[in-house]
Amino acid sequence: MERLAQMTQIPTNRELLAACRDGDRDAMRQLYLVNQRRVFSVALNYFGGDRETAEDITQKVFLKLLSKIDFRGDAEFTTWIYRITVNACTDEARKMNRFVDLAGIFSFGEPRGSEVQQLMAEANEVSVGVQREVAKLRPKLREPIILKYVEELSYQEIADVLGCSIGTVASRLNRGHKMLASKLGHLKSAI
Amino acid sequence: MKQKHYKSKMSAFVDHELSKTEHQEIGEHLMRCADCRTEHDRVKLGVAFAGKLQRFDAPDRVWNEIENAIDCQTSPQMTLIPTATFGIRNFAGYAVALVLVTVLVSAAYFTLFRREPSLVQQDTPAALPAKNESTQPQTEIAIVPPANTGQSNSNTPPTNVSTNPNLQITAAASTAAFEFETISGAPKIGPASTSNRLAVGDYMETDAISKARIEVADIGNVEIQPNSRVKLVGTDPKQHRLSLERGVLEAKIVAPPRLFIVDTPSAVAVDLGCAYKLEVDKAGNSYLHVTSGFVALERGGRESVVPAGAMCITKRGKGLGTPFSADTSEKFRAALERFDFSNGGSTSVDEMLANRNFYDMISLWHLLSRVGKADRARVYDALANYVTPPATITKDGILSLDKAMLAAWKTEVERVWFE
Repeated sequence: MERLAQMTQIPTNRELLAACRDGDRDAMRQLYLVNQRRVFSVALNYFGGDRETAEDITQKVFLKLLSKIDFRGDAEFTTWIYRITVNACTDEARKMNRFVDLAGIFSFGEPRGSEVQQLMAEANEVSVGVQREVAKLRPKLREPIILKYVEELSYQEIADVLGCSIGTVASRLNRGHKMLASKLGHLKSAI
Repeated sequence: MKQKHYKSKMSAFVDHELSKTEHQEIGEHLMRCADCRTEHDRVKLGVAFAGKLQRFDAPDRVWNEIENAIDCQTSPQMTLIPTATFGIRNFAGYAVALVLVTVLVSAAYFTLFRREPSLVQQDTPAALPAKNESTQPQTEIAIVPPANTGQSNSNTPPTNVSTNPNLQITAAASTAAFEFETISGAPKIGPASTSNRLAVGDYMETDAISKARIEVADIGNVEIQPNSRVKLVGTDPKQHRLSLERGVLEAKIVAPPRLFIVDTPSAVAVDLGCAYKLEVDKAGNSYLHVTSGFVALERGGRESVVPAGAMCITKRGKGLGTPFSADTSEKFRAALERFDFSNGGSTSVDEMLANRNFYDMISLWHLLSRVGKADRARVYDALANYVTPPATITKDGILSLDKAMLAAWKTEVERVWFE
């Protein structure tokens, strides 16, 4: 993204971030517009299509980014923002489990059933089915799948975001793929 | 000679993440090895499924809210969503949670296996005002198991929104109850309840012909309409709380603000001294119509204050709507719904402003802090057309979302509304 921006004379994330530090509201908006899709898409797929939670995560990430700009420049900006987003999703998921009310305490992982059904009626059944199954994977398997197939990061970039080795990324993806194949086998004919 | 396999590298192979040499080596191996071919086919299928995941843009309102939070120099979401650190430092938290769960399980066991005598002994006077039981209609009561005792299934009602989960833990451990009377049919109630008392933690479920009236301690009553499911979450002198899973309830409450609360799957309805009708549809969306006083709908740090004569919609997974007058035009209402739930943005604001009338003052006040900065001045002008801004506020102050000024104008809007 930053390389492309340089080629087309669009301010880079780093330049925008520098302007944001000076309180430039247009730069803040532009930084948001350039990056919102990354943050929102990761959060939306992390939480199985829960738009409200994805909006909350997006808001939280950008407020943190714009009000406490502590990007030190020792990594790609996009790596950094993905890392913040994944961390925010992890925190939120933990909080959801921690504060789940008693009605839901015996039904972990299923409180969003009707929401998913609603989404399935509105959108492509396979996509929503995949989104739902991905959201049920353990976070360690879910994160690389989202970063690879939603954000199209390379294994190296995923390793940088998650702070692990390429081998670990490959291993987690291997397991994640096999679980998806096993859970979604009934939809094989639809892809 | 033992053959080398490549199962652990199948994802990297399918994703073309290997060197050309290694990719070629595995490709040749797959032609010879049935085991690895099977593994390859499974991984490839998983990759094909994962490839169906999609990217989406965040709705415009997210930036509006970020900008508003920056304008206010606060970050409401940040304060509402505390950073969860679940490291070793929080061991004490785990310990407390473990104790709570133990207490809860004990309470559930106690409630399920001790019948009426224990219930009567544990009723609290504050939650259960004295009433002549002979006045209760003789009705056949069916017992239904509480929804939270089974493993998840497709019929499990959606978990309702609650702003105070700790209350629910405390409340469910209690054995307090609300009295109720059957108006028609035979409502089903949970096992800890009796023929005229709904116990904390129990559900009441009405079918197509049954209705019931629940007495909310000594502050009012709630009529449960047909095809509804409601749970008594908790009751104590500081707060009485129901959860409406689906259907319709009509509440008439005379009490200080925030004493009576109803959780729904998409929002929390907080009574501010009022009468209202609240409906939850099959998708978990809420529809509120206030007929007296005020109700606050809350969700995710956002709040809509709905006065008598106004309505408000919340959609599960999409958020809290903006209140609107029951007398607003169809065009205004449709544009507002697009703004709230379909990322309508400035186009919807244009439509609303073109179709507004006097009764839209409540919506316009709420929109001041919900539209983007570019649209805020036009909303200000529209609202000022109906409700003169008090002398203590300035346009610049409102445009920068000064909280004190917004509150002052809100008071004036409400005064005009009720005139």
